[in-house]
Amino acid sequence: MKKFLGMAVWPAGVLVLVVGLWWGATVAFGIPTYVLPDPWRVVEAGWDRKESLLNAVKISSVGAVGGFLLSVVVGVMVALVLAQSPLVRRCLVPYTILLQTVPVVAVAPLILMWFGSGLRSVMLVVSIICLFPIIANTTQGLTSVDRNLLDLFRMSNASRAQEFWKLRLPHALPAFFTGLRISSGLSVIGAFTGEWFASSNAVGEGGLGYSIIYANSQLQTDYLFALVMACAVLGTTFFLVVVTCEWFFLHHWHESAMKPEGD
Amino acid sequence: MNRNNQVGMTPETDGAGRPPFLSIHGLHKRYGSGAAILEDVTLEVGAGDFISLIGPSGCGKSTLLKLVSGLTPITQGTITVDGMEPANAREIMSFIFQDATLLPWRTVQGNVELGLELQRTMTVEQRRKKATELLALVGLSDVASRYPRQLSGGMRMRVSIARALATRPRLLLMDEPFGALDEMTRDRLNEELLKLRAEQGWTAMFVTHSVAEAVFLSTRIVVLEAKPGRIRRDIAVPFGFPRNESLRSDPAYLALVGEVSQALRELKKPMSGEGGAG
Ligand SMILES: Nc1ncnc2c1ncn2[C@@H]1O[C@H](COP(=O)(O)OP(=O)(O)OP(=O)(O)O)[C@@H](O)[C@H]1O
Ligand SMILES: [Mg+2]
Repeated sequence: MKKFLGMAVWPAGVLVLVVGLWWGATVAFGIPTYVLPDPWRVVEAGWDRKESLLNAVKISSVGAVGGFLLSVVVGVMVALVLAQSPLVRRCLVPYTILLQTVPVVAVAPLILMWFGSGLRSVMLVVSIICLFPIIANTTQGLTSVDRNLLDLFRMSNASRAQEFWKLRLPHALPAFFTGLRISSGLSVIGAFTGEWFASSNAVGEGGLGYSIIYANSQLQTDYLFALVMACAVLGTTFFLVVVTCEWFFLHHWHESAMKPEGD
Repeated sequence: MNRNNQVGMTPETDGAGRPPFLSIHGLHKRYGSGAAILEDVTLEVGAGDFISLIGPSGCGKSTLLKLVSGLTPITQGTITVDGMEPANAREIMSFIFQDATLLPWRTVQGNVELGLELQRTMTVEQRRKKATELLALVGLSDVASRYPRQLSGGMRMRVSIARALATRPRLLLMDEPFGALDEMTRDRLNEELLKLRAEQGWTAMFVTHSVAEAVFLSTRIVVLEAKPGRIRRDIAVPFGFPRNESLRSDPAYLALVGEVSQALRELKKPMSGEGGAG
């Protein structure tokens, strides 16, 4: 606990400093509210409209989490296929790279056209963004097992199933979690992008992405700021959830899970 | 007591007239279409022998162990382990690698149980008991629930030895198991290894770069030359067992270390009468 407090103190200090500078700037330069509202206005705007704000957060979370989970399921399955043999990898890896190189904004209109607006399309955009890090990292984890360990299993006449469950899978966990960590951050960006294109615009059904476009068009800069912060909080929370899971599974044995410095 | 008088050769059969425990005949090995790694290697090892393989880097020592263990296919020639082909003899062999190759996500106990677990011949209870027994034997009972990253290099190697011995192998293949350890730890583990051998009576093929270690442990030292890998010398070590650290200062021991070192040095020059042919 003490360690945790120690870790939180410095970032919190930075936050206070930034908010202070921000407030100071708005006062000192007399910046109009529609350009840069002061921090209190932002808090106020968020509080005044907390219901629609929370609703937007909820909708975006569902989109982000749903798309993320979809990408985990699909990504792991693809990685399992890719891990089968070097030949399979040579044939298919170029196509997985497409996921990374074609910008989602280019594909989003197509998704909108095929699947219509709404949560389903948002989730699809999210999963497209999240897929590559999961595939790449999990495949790497499954295939980078030490030659000697594989020999050890062969010497024990281990079956393929044993080799998978007792060697490849646990070995792949750290890399898998690295993929999850990257994708958890991307998922919120994905939800945001998805909503930009494909959010339902029925009342009370737009997520953060949609609400931000709306607030912007209405010059509600203070509310827009509140929404941006909600995005940041959502992304961070999501990331922390994944890091906690990672810690839970890996802290016994893997260095990367033992983050807190010292030790 | 001392049955290692003959130098350069081992008998075709041991005392009881049975074929040798491990026999390698006219063995050739190349990887793919590359150059020959091993050429015409013939070696017979009696049950209970402790053979050290020594030779320059790249001469095929690891390859020879992999061939005996059936991990890599033979190009030409035969290997039989207790009358079986290598791939069929895995149940009676264990391999110990240079790095301990432990599973980092398993505790020490879990690592020692691995071989038994993969064999699926014991119940969980029996397995646990066996592993506990072996950990006691290598002096690691009090760290059974730790993870490999919490152990020193010497302790990790002991875990690796315990894991290899858990399946009661009759042939132990070791590829520079102590190569990464400091000299003191290495000496101590050498002595422990001989104690384990005395208790369990396995046969060993042991790769090392340390002449002193080879002389201390072995009943025979096989010197290999490189490119292609061939047996150059087969030197019997006449000291009886048990051996302990006092052997290390015995003049006969030191003389033999000198002789083997000399044999290794001579590898660099072509042997007289061979005309230096490659
Ligand atoms: N899987 C492989 N494919 C191709 N060549 C290999 C393979 N494994 C080993 N070799 C080659 O075979 C030769 C002998 O290798 P090996 O590992 O058996 O030597 P070594 O005597 O154990 O050397 P060291 O003392 O350095 O461990 C080397 O030239 C090496 O490059
Ligand atoms: Mg080697």
